[in-house]
Amino acid sequence: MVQLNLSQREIILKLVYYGPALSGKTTNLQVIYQMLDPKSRGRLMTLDTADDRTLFFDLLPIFFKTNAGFKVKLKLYTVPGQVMHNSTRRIVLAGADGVVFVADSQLREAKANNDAWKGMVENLKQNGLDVEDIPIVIQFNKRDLPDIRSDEEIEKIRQTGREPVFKAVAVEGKGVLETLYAVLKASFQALNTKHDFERKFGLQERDFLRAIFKNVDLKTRGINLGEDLA
Amino acid sequence: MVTQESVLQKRFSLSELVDTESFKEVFQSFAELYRVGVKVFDGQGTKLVDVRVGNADFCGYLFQFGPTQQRCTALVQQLKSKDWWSEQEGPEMPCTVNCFSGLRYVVLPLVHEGEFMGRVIFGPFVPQANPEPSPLLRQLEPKLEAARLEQLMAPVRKAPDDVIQKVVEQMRKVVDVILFTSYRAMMVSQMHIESVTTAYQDLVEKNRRVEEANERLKEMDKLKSSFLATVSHELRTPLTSVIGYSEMLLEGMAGEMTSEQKEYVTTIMEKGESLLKLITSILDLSRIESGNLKLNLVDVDLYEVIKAAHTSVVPQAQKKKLTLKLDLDPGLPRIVGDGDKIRQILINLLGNSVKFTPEGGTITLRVKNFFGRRKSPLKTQDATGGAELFAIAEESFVRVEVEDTGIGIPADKLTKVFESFYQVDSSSTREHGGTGLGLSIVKSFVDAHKGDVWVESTLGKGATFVVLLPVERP
Repeated sequence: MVQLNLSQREIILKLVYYGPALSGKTTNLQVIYQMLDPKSRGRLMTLDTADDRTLFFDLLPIFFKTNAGFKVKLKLYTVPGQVMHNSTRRIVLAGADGVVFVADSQLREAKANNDAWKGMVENLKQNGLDVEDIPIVIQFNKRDLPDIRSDEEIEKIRQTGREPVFKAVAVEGKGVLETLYAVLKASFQALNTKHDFERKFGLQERDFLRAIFKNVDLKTRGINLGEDLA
Repeated sequence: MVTQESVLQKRFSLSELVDTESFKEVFQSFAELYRVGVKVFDGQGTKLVDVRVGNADFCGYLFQFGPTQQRCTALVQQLKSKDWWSEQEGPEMPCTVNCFSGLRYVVLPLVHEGEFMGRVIFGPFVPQANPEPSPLLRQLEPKLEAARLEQLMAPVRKAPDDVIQKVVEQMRKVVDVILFTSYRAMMVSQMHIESVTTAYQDLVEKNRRVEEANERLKEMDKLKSSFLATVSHELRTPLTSVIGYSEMLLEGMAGEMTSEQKEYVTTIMEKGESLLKLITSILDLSRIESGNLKLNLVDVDLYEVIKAAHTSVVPQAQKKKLTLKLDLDPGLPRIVGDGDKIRQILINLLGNSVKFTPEGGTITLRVKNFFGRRKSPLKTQDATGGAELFAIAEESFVRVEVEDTGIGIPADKLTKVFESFYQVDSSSTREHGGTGLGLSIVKSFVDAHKGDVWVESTLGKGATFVVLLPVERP
């Protein structure tokens, strides 16, 4: 749930990276941390255990000022993927404005993906959110590994499902910004419909997206995020 | 539902985040190292740190006179609360503020995650480029003595601006680390509490629901048992008499009958017996459909179950001169299930094949290990688009096939055969008998085991019923 602080001219958005254990949620955030302009993002906070497994969450704050002088703060969270941390996942998911579901492309992880998805739907419900109402983007990560879902299967999922679907190799930075861009766009549109950002805060979708991806070298990285950033 | 405000939404003030005493010590050491005073205010303007170095006498002297006192108070107020950074783009940078006395301050905003947390006021110091008391002082207050001003300014640290910039930058980095580390520690401890609290609430809620459900089930169970007992008793008692008296008639206990009479009574007795079977099946089914089908879950030895099912259909098969083949994997796992129900599944499928396979045909019971996907996804209560999409996982199953060389099933009827009271061709009821409940019971039992069942067939060539029983309960 977006936090609007009109007196302090401030908008706070929350995006959550959800998915089964070891699907690459933290890696997504690490890539975003590396690629974004250091001036517009804070430190990546990782609350993990000694063996690098996320214990509570990772948090990457992104902030910028709009032309109309509003402070916009995005908080990108990951949830801990291990099954036992469900209550933490629910806490982190509370009030999310958008979700990236990071699925593991490996065939043997299909069940883990299913379980995580079901858990997410349930946790959203527990937080009073409907899976139909919240913008969700699906990322099939680890496309570089053997024994993975075929491109045809993913294409089928893309065509039959409601959610936008992206393919990624997060460790190589592939597909990460594309996914982020999609969830930002979808979340902005959902919030704009609800709160009329454009009129009330003079915040246009294009400016919102541009501010976040400011000074990101998309061209040399061969990333095309569409006309908005051209 | 998470109702209380989470630590994730909470804003922390500077004094909540840092340990004020230790924070003071850090700035104290800065001040001693560079011989310049430092003050720290939080976002609300509360002073947390105040270290004075060298300027006390100079400032005290100015404070003795009205006009300079006024200017001094105004400047302090500005330093403390003015938003020096509102015009700045991006990250807030330190601002240099000149005192009317000729001294200088640098004001550094403390920003954490884009949020203004407070400010550090570094100074005063004497700018190297212009190390004299301002001429403005004596215009404001002619009573101020030039020599005394110079004498009192001497202990104040002289420094060039670039050195001060570096010092301030250094300070900013240290404070940044302190804030980040404190915030992180705060998050860890608060999240521990929150997740434990949430998990606890979940358990309390779950326990309550389990207790409620348990009470309700007990009550329903009582009702159901008495209802079923009554119905089965009421229906069966007269039927037993019908069958019993028919039998007595046939045995000639009421005198010899003509062959025609015998034939009629035989029909009455046979139909009575099949009615009894039907009642038993219906009771089974009503138990299943009212959701009261209870699986008696145990470790099942499939070989025993298969043997029992096989033995019970052998007589029927022999009567029709059918060959009954068994094809079993030697390494079938033990599965968690209800042995009686699984046996019933096999008996019903085999009985069905016996019924629809003409004389001289072959029926094969094949049981194998199988790793693969279900034919139809397991139904979940909250199946949304996404859940369906992901329902393509592979699992370990025991795969049971009952293959016959019977009349087969038309393609458009392959799913209908599992519906209650359905028979492909109503004329077949007359020819083959049966209630049309056998396969529907199979489906219910398979569903209860969270398995999958379907049939494949070539019309006229035979049919193969396939049952997948999950090795691990999903």
